[in-house]
Amino acid sequence: MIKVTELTKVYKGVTVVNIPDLSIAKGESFGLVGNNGAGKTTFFRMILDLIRPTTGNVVSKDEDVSKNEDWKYFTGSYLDESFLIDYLTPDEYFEFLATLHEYSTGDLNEFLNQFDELFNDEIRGKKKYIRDLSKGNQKKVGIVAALMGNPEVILLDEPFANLDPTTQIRLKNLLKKWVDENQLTMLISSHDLNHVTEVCERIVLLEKGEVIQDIGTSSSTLKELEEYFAAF
Amino acid sequence: MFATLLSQNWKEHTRSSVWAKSVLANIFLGFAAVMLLGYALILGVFLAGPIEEMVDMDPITFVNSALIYYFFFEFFIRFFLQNVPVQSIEPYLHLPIKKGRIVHFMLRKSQVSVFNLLAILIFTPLAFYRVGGEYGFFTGFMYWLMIIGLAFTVHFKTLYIKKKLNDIPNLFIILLVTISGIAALDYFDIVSLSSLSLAAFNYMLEEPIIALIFPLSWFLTYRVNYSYFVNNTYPEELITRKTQTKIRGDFGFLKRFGRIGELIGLELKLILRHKRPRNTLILSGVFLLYGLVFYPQPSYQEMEWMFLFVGIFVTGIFFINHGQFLLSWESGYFDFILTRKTNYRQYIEAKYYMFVVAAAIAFVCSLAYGFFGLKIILINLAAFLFNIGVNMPIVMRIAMNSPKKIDLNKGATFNYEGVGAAQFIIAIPVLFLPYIFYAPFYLLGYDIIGLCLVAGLGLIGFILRDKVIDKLTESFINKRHKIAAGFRAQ
Repeated sequence: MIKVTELTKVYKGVTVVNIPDLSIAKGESFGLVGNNGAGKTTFFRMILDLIRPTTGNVVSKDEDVSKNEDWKYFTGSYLDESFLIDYLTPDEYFEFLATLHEYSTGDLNEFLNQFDELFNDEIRGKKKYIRDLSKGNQKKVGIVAALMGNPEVILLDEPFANLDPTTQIRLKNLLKKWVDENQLTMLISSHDLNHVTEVCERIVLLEKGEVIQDIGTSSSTLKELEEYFAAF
Repeated sequence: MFATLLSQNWKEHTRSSVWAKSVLANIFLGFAAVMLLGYALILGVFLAGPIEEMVDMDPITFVNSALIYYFFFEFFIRFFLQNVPVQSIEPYLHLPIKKGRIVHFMLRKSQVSVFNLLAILIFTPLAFYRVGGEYGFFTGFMYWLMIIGLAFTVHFKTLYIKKKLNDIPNLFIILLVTISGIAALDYFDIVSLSSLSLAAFNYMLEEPIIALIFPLSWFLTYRVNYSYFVNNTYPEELITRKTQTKIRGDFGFLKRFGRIGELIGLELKLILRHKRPRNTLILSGVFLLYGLVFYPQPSYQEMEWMFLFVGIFVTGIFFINHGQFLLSWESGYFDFILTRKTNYRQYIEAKYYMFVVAAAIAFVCSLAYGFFGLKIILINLAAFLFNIGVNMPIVMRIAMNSPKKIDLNKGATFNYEGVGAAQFIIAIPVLFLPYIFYAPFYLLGYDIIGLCLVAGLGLIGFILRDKVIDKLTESFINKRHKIAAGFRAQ
């Protein structure tokens, strides 16, 4: 689904990402872990063509993401608040996205209804701009928006951060369900080793922009990762 | 899609915290824009007719020879004031919308600008009334098209050059050298720009069809911008925010003055590291020269009462400018201020002394005006004392009334963030209060006594500064929750 070749990004002589070769298969749930500054977000931004790579490219569904914009039509993403149009209310934002994805009002309602549990009655029908929502609620809006339009690939940066424990668990189940039911290729980065090993079948560990470990998740993965980070 | 983007753009403005909170500033801005356009139209009518008698020249000849200067001037104004709102397209980049559409939208919308109306308003009357009258309607119409084409060409040229500045850091110098080179050639009569301009535009009057070049160049510059933006729609490349490699200011020496010194150091860092407060500081430096407008003029020598006003400005501009937003500057981390380990009195005291020192520095610099008469030094001394003793606490107190949030990372031009009712009334006491004491004596002919009274009041205020700071701290403590809630809510 996604193939990365010779991808590097250099800022002022410092290489922040250097991934010679990496493939992510369709339907795979891919977890990216690493300490701050490991290059996780930069890598994701390059997959979304938000950063111009210094060398190399990212090919999504046989098309180079920087060469044409086809990827936009099957990729959902939420990295940070700059993905939200923060002066709209959540309803307005969803309605805007609905027009992009050619949802009717009924489609939109049906789509949003499945997230009622996640929204916990704090998002829809409230007269509040996105910028006035709490960080956690902003994140909920962003993640649900990313799932709109039946994406084949979804990228989420730190989806569990800032969420309350109940929502973390609900989100975890939700993501697993989507991956199973829709053959969704999911890329998430997280500092929460517990969650990420539970949701993802494959874990890639980045350090200073380079892939240090690339492992399939097993019952011992969490322990191995904890040992690695403790010894860092 | 276009309509949706447009309506969202409109929402962005009307829902921005600045818009809603400062209706007054918006009305003022709108009024200023209407005035400006009104003046442009009046100038246009003037150019089309009455100018004949003033310059003793055919208006068309006059305008044609000046046109090139006008557009150079317009380029400069645009260069400093105009910008493409590239940041606002960031939330759309990952969505399934073609980049081209977003860029088209951004560029087309950018054309709706006061700057583009300016040239049209100034030259339309001439085009139809004069050119149309003398050379026929068709030529007049082509002349009008030419002006429109030129205005929009300049518009897109400016946008392109401003964006290119990021890629080619020396472009600004190249530009400066080129333009000053042309100016020098013109000045020393080697090449006359005005006759060049006259020749070119007069030729157009003979061959009106030639004017189509300009609408064409409008279209071409648009395409150039379009392809540039489409190929460079990466947020980190679009945003002109330069990454600062140098950390400005250490102010280690201030540590000697204890906690207060450190707080002043913090505030100085805030000023130096952000554009808007830095501009305020630079403006204060420029205002030191304000006296030069008044002192050398013989006509003002007879209006000596004006000089106290000048003195108040020259010695006090920094606290007037910076102090009116006293707490707003720190609105981004106000909660942090309330929770950290400084007592509120020290916090207020640090600001107080910073303003005193700034006023003192301004006063020392203003001593040079003694050149225009020793009386000026006396007036400035009285103004300085009155400023630190009376005006400054008043400004600080007014600024504590429901201050507005300021986002320090935003630019400075046309940024009315933080402006509220307080900022409009702040000038009143500052400028008029000293006259309440000075004017009666001045009118009776005892102006020295008036000055002494003003100075004396200021001195008393300064001597009682501990009490004054106590009072300020008290009102700060009483209002702190309201202020913090206000900053958070916006």
